[in-house]
Amino acid sequence: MHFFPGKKNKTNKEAIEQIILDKYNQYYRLAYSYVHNEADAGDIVQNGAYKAIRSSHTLKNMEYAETWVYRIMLNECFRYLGQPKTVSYESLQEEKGFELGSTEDKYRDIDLWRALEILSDKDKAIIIMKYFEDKKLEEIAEVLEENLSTVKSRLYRSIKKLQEILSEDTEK
Amino acid sequence: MIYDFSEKKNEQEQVGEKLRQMKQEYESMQMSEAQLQELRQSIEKADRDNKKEHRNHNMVKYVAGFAAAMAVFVALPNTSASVAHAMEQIPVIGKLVEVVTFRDYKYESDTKTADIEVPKLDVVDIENSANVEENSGITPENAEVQETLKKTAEEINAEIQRITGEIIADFEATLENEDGYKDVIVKSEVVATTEDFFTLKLMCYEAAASGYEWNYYYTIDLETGKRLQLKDIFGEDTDYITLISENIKEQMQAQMDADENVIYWLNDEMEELNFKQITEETSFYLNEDRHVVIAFNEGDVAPMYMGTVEFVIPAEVLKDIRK
Repeated sequence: MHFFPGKKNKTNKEAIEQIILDKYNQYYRLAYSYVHNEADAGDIVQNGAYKAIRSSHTLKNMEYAETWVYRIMLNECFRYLGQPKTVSYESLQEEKGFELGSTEDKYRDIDLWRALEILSDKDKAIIIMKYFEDKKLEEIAEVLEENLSTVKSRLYRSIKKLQEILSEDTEK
Repeated sequence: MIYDFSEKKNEQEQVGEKLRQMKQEYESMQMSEAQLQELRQSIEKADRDNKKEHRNHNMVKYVAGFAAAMAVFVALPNTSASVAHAMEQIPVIGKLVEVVTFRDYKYESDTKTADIEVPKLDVVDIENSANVEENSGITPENAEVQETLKKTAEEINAEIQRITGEIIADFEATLENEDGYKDVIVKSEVVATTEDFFTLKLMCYEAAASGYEWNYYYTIDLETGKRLQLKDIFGEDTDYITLISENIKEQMQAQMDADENVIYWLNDEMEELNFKQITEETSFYLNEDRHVVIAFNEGDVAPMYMGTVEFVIPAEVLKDIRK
């Protein structure tokens, strides 16, 4: 319950704006990992920022502001791709008509990035947050609004999957 | 048999190594100046739109009422069935403690279901007890134990009501979104009660995309009326934690050796997952043979598919340190 709702909301909004202006590249990288081109990645960050500020009054506990913004950006990535993906990379390729390795994206080692595509959107998010953003498992659980144990299990399964794919590749 | 993890570790390390390489590439990605400009514009637009809109603070709160006494009735405005039971009495367990249903919360719609039975411990009044012959006369000892027992029961009841209250509140919060799927179940049962101990197990289950089960164990020492903690079973300053933890690790290894489908987080590359030790707070109960049983929730010490896991600690392991 707020006694001065107007006042509190204003501070919320300003803090959130500041977070976005500090960390936009983090969101950009995240988005790029999903859409593989600069234009769409930029759109996602802009849309995410817009939504975050428009709903800043719903954030009750400012302690979690960074996590909350990150979650909005991640959901924007998911939204952009359609339903959270549980199908394989190949069928996604057919659907969206895009290909890793086209001139648009700028990866050096396609194999590694291709391997990541095998994971579901959520599992991929966990890998990105853990290995590229160095987030702790507890924070990842908060972003995804899942149990810590679930996150641990997903992480474990994803590493196993990546192992399989990468060892297949080297056998070729 | 010695489990050879080195090859597995090698593969896992390779993955870790590759991911670390990718991280450098990942970090090099940045928004252009032009994109940053567009971002600022989006922010400004959001500010403007915020000011334009007249927000409607129309909050519809749903409050479930608790009756002061035992029976609780929850009625929900809804399309499908919503049922409430009155009190159910489970026969007297042992001489002293009864488990009754404090609250029965049920909800059903196309996408959401809840079946939450909140148990309550009732301490039987010796005076009015049907077992009056067995409890001929109230001795000072008994009376004191009774008092302690009542307090303990109150504490446990309060805890259970807090936990289930949160579960119900979380569930009701999801009702706003009609699309999402949610299924919540809370039940309880008495596990292994003897003359000396009484354990109530609170079982919780929640499913949205996937299901998750977790349990709480409440054990009461009927001789003293107090809540039994793990350390109460052992002599002071005994290292029950190490003894029990080491035994659990042995059992985990043995199970994995016997069945390749069994996995515990014991020697995984991801150190932070691996089981190291139990703590004072680890869930446990005493079974009919008065053996210590350590209980873990899903995902605590093993991948989720293993479900909730329990380890019975053999008597020999603990015989020297038990009180």
